[in-house]
Amino acid sequence: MSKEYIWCVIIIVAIASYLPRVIPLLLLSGKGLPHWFKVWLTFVPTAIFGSLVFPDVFLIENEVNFTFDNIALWTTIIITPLALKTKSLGYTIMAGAVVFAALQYFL
Amino acid sequence: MVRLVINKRVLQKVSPIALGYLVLGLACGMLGQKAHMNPLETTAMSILAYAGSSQFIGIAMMLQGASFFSIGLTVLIVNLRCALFSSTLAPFFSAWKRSALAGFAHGITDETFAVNLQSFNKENNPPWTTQEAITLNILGCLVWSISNGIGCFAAEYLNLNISLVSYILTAMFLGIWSNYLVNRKMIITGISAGILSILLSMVVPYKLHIVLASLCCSSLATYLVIKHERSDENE
Repeated sequence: MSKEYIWCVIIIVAIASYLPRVIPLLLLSGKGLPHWFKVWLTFVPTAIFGSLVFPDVFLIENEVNFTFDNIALWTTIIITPLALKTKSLGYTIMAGAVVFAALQYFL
Repeated sequence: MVRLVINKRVLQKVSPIALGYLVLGLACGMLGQKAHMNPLETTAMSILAYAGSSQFIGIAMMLQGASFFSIGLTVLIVNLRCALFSSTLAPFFSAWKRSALAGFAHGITDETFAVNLQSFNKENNPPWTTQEAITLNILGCLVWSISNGIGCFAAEYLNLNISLVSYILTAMFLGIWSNYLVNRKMIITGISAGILSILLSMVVPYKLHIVLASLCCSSLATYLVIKHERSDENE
């Protein structure tokens, strides 16, 4: 990985993270967003995290995998109730790491 | 000039955030090291971006050699939820100059937003100030950046299991996602986006399946909700 590539990614990630935070503050300062846009923004997070999680969990080398080789899948099945109950990022990550390591050891 | 205020309640409110950022930052720094970043680069990225999910995504896509365009677009969509946060906080900052607002915007994350909003609404004696809010953001950023640097540094000397570090990323997404799964509409939208994302990943190049699936499903959900509202109004 070249240094130029790494620094370009750093700058791109920084800009893409900053724009959604700053634009509403500068443009609105008190005024509301259009209604349809607000509704849309409420659906974006659930859709994006669904799109991120599912391929990570179900796919191995671009193929859907339901065998015991797919440790990510079984870990996720085990920790999902905890994630939904606690809604805590910290607990979910810790439980995920512990269960994943344990399954890796035993399976 | 915006003054920073470090007092007891700011420290009390920032400490649970700091603990979370410490763990997550170490993991993010370690993933960065796997993508051949050095501690300086991971720290710089953390100060400039200050966004856990964006940085994890950026680094994971970098490991796959994704194009700048798809990295930028994916990170932008991942972070779009911050637009909702900053428009929610905007009324509390109506007295601020634009330059100061631009500075405050940098520190809006899932965690700092939740704590600041709750404090603006509930702290009355005396009321939560905008100075305290920006101090909280900056202290969070400090812990986040330092732990990223340490994680990257430590990973050079540890033989880390890359699949475990990548799973931490998945667990983080699951943890954030769980906060949005509050009703049936949100659950259906999320799961359909997930399934669509898997299907698209088999046909769409440059890792654009994440963006496409989430845009399709969130837009469809919005269309259905607004259509439903209009038909309710007409009755």
